[in-house]
Amino acid sequence: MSLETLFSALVDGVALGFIFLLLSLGLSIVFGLMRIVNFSHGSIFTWGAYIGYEISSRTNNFFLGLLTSSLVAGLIGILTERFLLKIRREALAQVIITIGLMLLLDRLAWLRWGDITYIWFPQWLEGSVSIGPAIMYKYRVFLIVVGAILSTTIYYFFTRTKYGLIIRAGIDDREMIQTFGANIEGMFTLAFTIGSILAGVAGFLLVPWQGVYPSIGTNYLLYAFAIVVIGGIGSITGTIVASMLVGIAQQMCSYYVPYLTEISIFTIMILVLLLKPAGLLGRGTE
Amino acid sequence: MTILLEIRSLAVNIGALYVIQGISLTIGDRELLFLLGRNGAGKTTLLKTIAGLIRPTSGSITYNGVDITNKPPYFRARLGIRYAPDNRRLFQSLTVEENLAVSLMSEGVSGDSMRDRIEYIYTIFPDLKRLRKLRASQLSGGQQQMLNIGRAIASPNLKVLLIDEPTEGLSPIYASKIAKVLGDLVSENKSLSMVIVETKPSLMRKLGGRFVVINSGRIALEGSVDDILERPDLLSLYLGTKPA
Repeated sequence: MSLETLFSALVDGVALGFIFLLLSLGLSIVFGLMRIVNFSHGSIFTWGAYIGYEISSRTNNFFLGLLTSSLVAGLIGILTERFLLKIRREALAQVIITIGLMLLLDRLAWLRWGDITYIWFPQWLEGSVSIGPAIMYKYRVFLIVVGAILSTTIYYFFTRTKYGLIIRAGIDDREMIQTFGANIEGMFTLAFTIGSILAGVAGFLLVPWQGVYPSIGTNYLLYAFAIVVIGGIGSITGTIVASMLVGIAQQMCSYYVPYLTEISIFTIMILVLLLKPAGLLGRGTE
Repeated sequence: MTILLEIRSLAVNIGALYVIQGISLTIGDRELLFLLGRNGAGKTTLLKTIAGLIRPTSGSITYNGVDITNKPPYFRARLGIRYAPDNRRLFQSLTVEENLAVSLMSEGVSGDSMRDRIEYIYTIFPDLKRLRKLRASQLSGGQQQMLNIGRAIASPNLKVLLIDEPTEGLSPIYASKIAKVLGDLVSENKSLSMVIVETKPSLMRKLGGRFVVINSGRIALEGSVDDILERPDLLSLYLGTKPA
């Protein structure tokens, strides 16, 4: 076990942790505020990846791809919350609606792009960089930088802005926040849209690393569910901690014990549930 | 006295239970009204229905002549109606200061006005200033109640305050602090009406006003607080208590 390998595994883990964070945060906020397990979240991640891939590969412009994927994902989010979820108010009906949407979006993606895995790489991020004794892929370092900027922005939004505070208060008690004058329906739309944009961005950021294929959203949705449970449902800080923990653990496993990679996340989840049933920073511990 | 809130033939069913069965009452401008009654009588349900957290089965609620029966809680809050629940229901993951700030931001108060209102609450409850960085979940019961009431009275637009059992479960020190704050609010705020659910006579003695006894979802008795305090038999019958 060389120091360089350990360092590379750590960098990859943190980079993957940021992808997990962007994906899981929306799931956690939507569940915390609206009490909906949004099964279509992974499909929005997939569509963000495909749309970003299409635009960036055609224009050779990474940032245009990033912008388009976030806009399309946000649009799917707004339409879902404004129209589909308003059809029925009961939580169970809304879960079934999101399952239906997941199947529809995945099938549409499969019809358009088939079973092929698409990868596109921005040329200016090809190659590697040396930091101390370690040599790392440029793109993974870039992911950490972008992830850190986005996470800081999100953290600022939830801790320093009016709407962020209202959403956090709504996660704690969505009835009471209305008795102070907050229109919770507007907050639902905002939370759903932010969550969807983050999922779309996460999907696109993964394209140069792992590519995009029809079932990628479903696979990552399972990880995101596990992360939300590990961090504590509805806890933003918990989701941040759990995303990093899972990202690093998974990459460590893939470097040193590859056959444990797939089960590492669920092993962590079982251990956390045994020791802290509400999650690392779930209600009752926060 | 001008009528501020008017409740007409209000009925509320929760599941198969007829919790409120045709209550009619009025709350005047600057009036103090105590809702009395044993546990399960329907007092909390009535407060929650006025706040908009429960939809009535029938009947109407008007505020300043505007029908608010089916209006959402945020609409009523923007008219100046505030609710402080008995189980506090603070935003547990937010700090004391964030709890106060979010209650103001929700109705559109921000910047210097918001800071002024938070400072105003700190002058009323100096303990909250010392505890402002702590999460609500880290506060004691008495401190939580101060925040619960502080959050409800922070609004610069406050017109009607609905408080559910403000001194319930508090130590005598905190109970007398809360009673003093409510007394000061009544004497200082010239445009505030208050509806207080109470099961103990001590707060009524301090604040005075009018009372309504609710029994099995109906109004059983009403009058002035001074009158009922002189009737230990009625207090015992409807509250299960005796005046201290």
